[in-house]
Amino acid sequence: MWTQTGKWLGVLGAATAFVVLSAGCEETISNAWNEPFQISAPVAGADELAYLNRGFEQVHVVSATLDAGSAGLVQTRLETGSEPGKMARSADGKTLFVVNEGDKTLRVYDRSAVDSTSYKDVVLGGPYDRISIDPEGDFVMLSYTGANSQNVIAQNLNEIAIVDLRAGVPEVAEFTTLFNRPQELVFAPGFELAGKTERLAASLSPSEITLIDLLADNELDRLRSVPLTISQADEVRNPKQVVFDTSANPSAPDTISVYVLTDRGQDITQILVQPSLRADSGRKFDVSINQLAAGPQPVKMAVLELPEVGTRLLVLNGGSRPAFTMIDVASGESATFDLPITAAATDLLVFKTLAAGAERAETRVLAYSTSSPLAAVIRPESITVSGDAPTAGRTVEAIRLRQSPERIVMADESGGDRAIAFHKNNRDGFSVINLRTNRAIPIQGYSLSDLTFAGSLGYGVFSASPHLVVFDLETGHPTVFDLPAAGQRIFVQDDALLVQHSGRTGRFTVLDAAKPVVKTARVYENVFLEGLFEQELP
Amino acid sequence: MKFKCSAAGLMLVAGILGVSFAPADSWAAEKDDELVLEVRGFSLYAPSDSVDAISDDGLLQGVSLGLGYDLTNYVVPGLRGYVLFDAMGESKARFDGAANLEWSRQVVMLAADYGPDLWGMLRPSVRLGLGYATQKLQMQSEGSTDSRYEDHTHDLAALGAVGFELYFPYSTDEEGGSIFKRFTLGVGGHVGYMFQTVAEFDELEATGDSWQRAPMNFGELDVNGVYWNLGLVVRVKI
Repeated sequence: MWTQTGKWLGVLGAATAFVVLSAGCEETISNAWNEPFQISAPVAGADELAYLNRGFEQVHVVSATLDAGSAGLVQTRLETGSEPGKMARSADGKTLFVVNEGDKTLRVYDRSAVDSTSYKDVVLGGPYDRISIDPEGDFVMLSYTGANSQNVIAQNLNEIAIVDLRAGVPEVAEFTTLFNRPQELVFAPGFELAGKTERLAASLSPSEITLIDLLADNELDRLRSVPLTISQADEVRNPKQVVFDTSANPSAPDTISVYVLTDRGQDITQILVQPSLRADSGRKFDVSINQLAAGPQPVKMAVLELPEVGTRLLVLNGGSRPAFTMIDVASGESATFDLPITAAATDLLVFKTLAAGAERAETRVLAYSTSSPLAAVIRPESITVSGDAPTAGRTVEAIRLRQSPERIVMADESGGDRAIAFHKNNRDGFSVINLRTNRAIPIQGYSLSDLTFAGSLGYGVFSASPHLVVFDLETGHPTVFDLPAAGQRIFVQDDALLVQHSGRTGRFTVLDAAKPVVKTARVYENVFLEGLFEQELP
Repeated sequence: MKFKCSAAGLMLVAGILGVSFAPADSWAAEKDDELVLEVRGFSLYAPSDSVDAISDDGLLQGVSLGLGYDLTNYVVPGLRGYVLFDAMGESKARFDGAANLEWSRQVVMLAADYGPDLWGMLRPSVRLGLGYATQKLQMQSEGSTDSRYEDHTHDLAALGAVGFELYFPYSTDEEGGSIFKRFTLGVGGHVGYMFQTVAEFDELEATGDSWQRAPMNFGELDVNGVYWNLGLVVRVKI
């Protein structure tokens, strides 16, 4: 009997094993294992960097630590929804936002919570691929770039989603269809009109600005379209820069201005917003438009609130003649002045500095061109718009740099007195600019790939040399330390220096900022591959 | 892949049925002592997701060597004792070449193999084994030419399998005769389950320069799974 039973058990076992083997071997792995590693640029917070890993559907959050002189790196992983697209961080660094294009949700991570991996999802209803963050932390707006047309069945490109965070993270966003597809969304800081707090944003579209009233309680007030051309048939003018001026203006009380610079024409459009004067208008705001002469080919502008002078617009002019235009907003008068540099300026930085013997800090503007080794410092308070042309040495002063700057960054921690010029070529070195004396200190050597500041020191890494430079912002004196590979980015966190090297899998070196030597440094490679065997890729 | 798994399934069916339905008189009595040598291709299907990093389909390939001794005259008719050695490895470039992984495993086992000789040409069997496994993982990332990360693990391994051996007509010459009559050539295969304690690759150390490099942690690799092998068997009368 036992023999018979054994035989039939054998038959049963064989059949089961055959079915299991034949069926079980069908499995194949996720395509993500063989697709390129898709790691975003870091989104920096107060003490952490966040990298979006699209293939893993995760966010890698890394922080440098320094414990008794011993460098370390802590990594946290945050799960995203499906097909994460854009990632952004709130201005205070405490909240991280990831748009899940597959799930059509916005995932909101509270990085200051006890459980720092906790999150809430906001239903968006669409795969938005642009995210705009309110600097004041009250709103997030999402829109479509229109760039990704693959797999799109039907999508309203004019639609935006508004996430109101004032009362916490909502379950569902609000949706609004604009008059035109937004190229960019810009938030105005909070302001008061007629004693009421208001929030506005602007949508930049071809030949049109749409003002979005974020606190509107009805659809009529929500959107106000402001055309930039007289007719749709006119040549298209694309807005390049929008600046809100919400400061109190004695000459125009209860009015805020929105300045719009476009890629055509010789003027700046000023949009004036004030509470509706006529009760029967049915509108919350009155909107009017003013054109301000801005000189030839305006390329960049800054709104300057100058004591005893008022509001001025400083506009950089393009073309063959290096020049800038100052506009007195109150009178509408403007004047164009030459810049003592050899090519038209392409960018400007506004800063304040306390001149020797002065009682208060003075607003100044640093204008530069990526094609000229000269930069110019403008003293706008000394310029009379309707008066004489400024002369070099009084109101506009030139600074000679080592080479043409690729970009210039302000060393904010130095109190606005220093700026660093990055140069283009590998062996062009860099320049430390003293903005109090208007002199540049040339540093010979490799060009910087990134730079950060802590106190009176600057820390830089080079794109073509495995070294770290620490330099004194006052004297410019550089000290060079070794790195295991050329650095791509550098951050200061918790008294430690975090250097990111090139490579998609996450290569970092953590050093003691006070003594960045090899002995106390630690190298972390393949950080984004940590726990690889435990990953279930989508 | 599907074909391979089906073949393994058929092998399993043949093995189990063979042992189950063996005639009572096939459990050979007194006979010459024999050495048995096996050389086989080896496949293991590990369903764990942890294997995805080193295999596209969960299949791990290698070779298996075995040296057995027929214990019919000493313990139980039809019983053999084996020393088995399995070696397998995979090399994968993951994430479009961003990470290059090389994994290998060696297993040494003592095994008991029990089965009847049927008609002098077929031997279905059941096999149980227990032994030691070592794994090695090497990893090199894109752009990192100066450092290579490596870790080893040491684990316990066990297997349970059924199989078969099919011989060319078997010599029954009791006197032995020429050297060729002392050898019998056949094909054989097994299918079963190979268990191994989960390997923890938590300290991939860098080789290379003076920099202090933090070890990497890849986590646990679970290579438990169904395995099968197929190859040559040589029986030598001694």
